Amino acid sequence: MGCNPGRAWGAGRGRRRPAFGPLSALDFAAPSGFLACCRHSPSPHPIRNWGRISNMSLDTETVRRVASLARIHLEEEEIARLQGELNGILAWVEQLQAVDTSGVEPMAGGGATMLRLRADAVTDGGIAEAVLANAPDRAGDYFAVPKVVE
Amino acid sequence: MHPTDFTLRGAMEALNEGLVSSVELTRAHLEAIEALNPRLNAYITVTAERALEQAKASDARRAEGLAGPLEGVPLAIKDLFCTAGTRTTAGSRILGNFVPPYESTVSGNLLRDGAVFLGKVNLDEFAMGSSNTTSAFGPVENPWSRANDPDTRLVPGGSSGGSAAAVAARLALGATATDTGGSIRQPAAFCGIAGIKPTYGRCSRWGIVAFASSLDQAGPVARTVEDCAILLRSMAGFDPKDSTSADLPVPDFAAACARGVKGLRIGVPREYRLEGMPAEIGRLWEQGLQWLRDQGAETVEISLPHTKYALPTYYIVAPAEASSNLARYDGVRFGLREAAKDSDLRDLYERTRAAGFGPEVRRRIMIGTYVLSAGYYDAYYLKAQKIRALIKRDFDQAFQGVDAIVTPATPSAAFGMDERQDDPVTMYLNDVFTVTANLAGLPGLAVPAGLDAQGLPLGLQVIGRAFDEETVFAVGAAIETAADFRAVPGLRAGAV
Repeated sequence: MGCNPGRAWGAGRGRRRPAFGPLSALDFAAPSGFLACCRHSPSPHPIRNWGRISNMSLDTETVRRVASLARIHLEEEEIARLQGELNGILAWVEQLQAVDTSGVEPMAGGGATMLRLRADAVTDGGIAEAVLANAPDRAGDYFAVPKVVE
Repeated sequence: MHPTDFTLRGAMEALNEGLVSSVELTRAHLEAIEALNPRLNAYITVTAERALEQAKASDARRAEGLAGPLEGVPLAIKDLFCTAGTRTTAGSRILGNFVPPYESTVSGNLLRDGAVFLGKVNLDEFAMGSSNTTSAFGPVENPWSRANDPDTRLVPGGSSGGSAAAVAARLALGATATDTGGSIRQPAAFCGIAGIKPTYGRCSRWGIVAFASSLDQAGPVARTVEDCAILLRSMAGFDPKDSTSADLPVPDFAAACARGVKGLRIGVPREYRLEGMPAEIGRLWEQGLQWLRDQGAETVEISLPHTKYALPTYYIVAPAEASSNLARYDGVRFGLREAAKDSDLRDLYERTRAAGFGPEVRRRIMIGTYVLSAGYYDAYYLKAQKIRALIKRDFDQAFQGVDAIVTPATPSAAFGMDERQDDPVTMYLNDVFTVTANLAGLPGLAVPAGLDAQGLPLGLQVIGRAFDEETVFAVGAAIETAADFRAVPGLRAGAV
């Protein structure tokens, strides 16, 4: 199974999530998204041979895993179509492998390389009603969710 | 003259001279919205009462001699900018009932300067799209149509399709917009108006619903280059609440529009001559360069060798950042919540996100999650970040020899609502000329320059050095003057 990304997919599976959001940094070998690069560390299962990737396409099991990581419920009948679309996009971005990037520093942000820091001081607070105003469910001054701990 | 036919600059002069009041201007625009919005679907939310209150307050301020730089000017706000007390949807079901308790910095700056907000305008869901057909609030129609095929409804472009359609149809004097890969410039070009994506960091991103944080930038669309310059001066400025906001003075952009181009060196990137590009777009590009030469500029062929990798690089970087940014929509703190009777928390997340996000947003979150996941991060995301650095280096080298770069704005004119919807990658190609400026963080302006054989507008793009929007405005205004673009769309206030 050429596309098996290894055990890292399993990291965190089956474990209870903390209640603060659908994605946990535990799911990623490196922190995701913008600003992440300054903290980037090599992933535990680096694909060193770019050529392996070029022959690869997502199988249905990987589509299910990615949806699970993204916390998006998939109906069985959606999987085949999504698999085709994702593979189309991935096949298209494969052309990037042709670029020689040896010695190139990755560019993370759109602007200055150093971000400004502000004083480590409280600048607001005491606005619980404003924070909770759009909550789908609340209990007193708390967001309410289905029971997490057995 | 109908009050909706003013340029923004013209309306400001008429207000200053007492020829029109803000209430009259605002009422005329609200009536036009009532007449045309059922067809165009440019506005998601019309805040008529609040707009008239703001207009009255504005007329009172003016009477007291307290007029601000945009006093009394009715504008449309892209529904991606949080507006305190007014629903902000991002074109998504998941934020369908979200009422922010705070105001985005950019819209707050416009209110500070006296602007009146007519309402919130439509967009592709979470600004992800090039046709404004992915909105949960329905597609926007382009007010233009083909001369030989007037019944085919055309897209306004995207993601700022509501902003561009509203301004083109005279349902606002100007509008805010945002641009992550071309979302200001492509719809501006499709709708025959001007729009600028300023340098990354010029406008604060605080309070704008995030799509891809290292690429997102706010900017204006309006019917003239000078109107864009006036709006940008109010929208821009340092904001301590955005750590990427540039702490630089905001120049008088409108003054730069009159600078002229004499002695400027204009770069013409050879990699932007695409195979299969319509001949009329190539001709318009050459015409634009001739106009600049006629006004004293010199045109120079340049090379931006990594151009062809820009779109695939973007379609790794932007979904990666989006998958991270959109993790916050979890059905817990705000927005939609979907759960089955016996849902646990994880099931609540998964059902909420499946029900709340449309297909294109789900697709991009999936791609982003995949390219950031263990084992693939280096091969996709890190590789893309390195190619992004090479794309920026291409521009850095080019700008050692030229003052601005001129290209077509889009590879085609506006297309039909039912065309190009089957394959995501085909849709992505719309941004082939615009996406490089986002990756490199540079300012890019779209200016209407002519019509195609079917009478649809075509735009040219001016790209400048970082924080040199003034030269971009000077070149854009020179093209605008020479093009003398006077064509108007069939669907517009006062014409129907």
